[in-house]
Amino acid sequence: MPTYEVFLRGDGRDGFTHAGSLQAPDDEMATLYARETYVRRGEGAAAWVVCRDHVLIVDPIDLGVPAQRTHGLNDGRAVAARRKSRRDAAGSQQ
Amino acid sequence: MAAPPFEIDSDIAEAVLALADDELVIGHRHSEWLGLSPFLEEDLAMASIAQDEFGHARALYAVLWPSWTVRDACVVQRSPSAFRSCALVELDARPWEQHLLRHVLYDVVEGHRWRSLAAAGLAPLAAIAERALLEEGWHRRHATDLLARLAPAHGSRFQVQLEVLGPLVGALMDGLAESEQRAAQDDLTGILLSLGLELGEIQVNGHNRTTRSAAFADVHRSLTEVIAIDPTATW
Repeated sequence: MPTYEVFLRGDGRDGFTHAGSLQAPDDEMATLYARETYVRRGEGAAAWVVCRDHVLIVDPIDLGVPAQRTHGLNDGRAVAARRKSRRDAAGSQQ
Repeated sequence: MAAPPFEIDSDIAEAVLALADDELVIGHRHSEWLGLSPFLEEDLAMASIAQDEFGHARALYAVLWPSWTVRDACVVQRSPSAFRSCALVELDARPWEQHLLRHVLYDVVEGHRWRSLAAAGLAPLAAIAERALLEEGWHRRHATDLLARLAPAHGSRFQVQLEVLGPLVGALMDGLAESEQRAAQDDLTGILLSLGLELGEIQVNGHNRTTRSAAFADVHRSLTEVIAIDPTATW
C-alpha cells in the first residue's frame, strides 16, 4: 500500500504542519484514514493528504549553506545593532 | 443495585432501545479488533468508529432514562433478556472479512434506522439523529469503500461470509416504516450486487429481540466484568 503524508491546519492563520503518515490502498481511502487517524479529536480544521510518491525530495547537497555564504544567515540582529549604534551616535552629538 | 426504570411501552421506545443496544454491542465488537486488524489504520478506524457508536448509544439511553443516577444499572447490568440487541451485532464475527462485511450490512441499514427515528416526531430524537447521521455517513463510507477495494479480488471469501450473515440482516429492518424498509433493502442489495455479492431474500419481519443469541454471553460478561469482581466499584 502507498504511504501518505498528512498535514493539518488549525482554525486560525497558522500554516499546515506535518501531522504524520499513514498507509492506504488509494487516495480516497487515505482521506478517510486521515480523519480517523489524525483528526479524531478535532486536531485540524483543514487537512492535506499527499501521496509520498508525489513529494519532491531535495538533494541534501542542495540544502548545504556554503561557508562563504554566511551573510545569507542574517537574522536581522546585525542590521538592528548597526542602526541602534548610529541612532545613539546621532543622539550624543546633539 | 438500583432497579433500572425500565418501562418500555411504546413502539418508539422499543425502536430506540433496539438501536441503542445494537450500537453498544457493535461498538464493543468493533473495539475487540483493536490490535488485530490487518493493518494499523484499520485498528484505529475500528476503535474510532466504536467510540462513535458508544456515543450514539449513550445519547439514546439518555432519552430513555433522562434521570439515570446509576448508569451502569440502567444500561450494562440489565439481565440479558432486557437487552434488545440483535444477533448480527452480537455475533463474534471471525475471520476479519466477516467482521468487515457485518460492518457494511450494519452501517448501510443504520442510516435508514436513524432517518426513521428522526421522522418519529420527537425533537430530542431528531437532534440526536442529525448528529449521528453525520458520523454514520463516514462509517458507511469506511465500510463500503474498503469492501469495494477487496471484493473484486476476494469475492468468494465475502460471499461465503454473506451466507452466514444474510439471515441475520432482516432484524435490522424490522420495525421500520414500509417505505424505509424497502429503501434499506434496495440500498443494501444494490451495493452488494455492484460488487458481485448476492444477499438473497431478506426476512424482515417477525424477529424476536427479547432473546439473546449465544454469542451475547461473552459481550455481557465483558461489559460487567469489573462490577462482577467488585460490586461496590464506582467510576
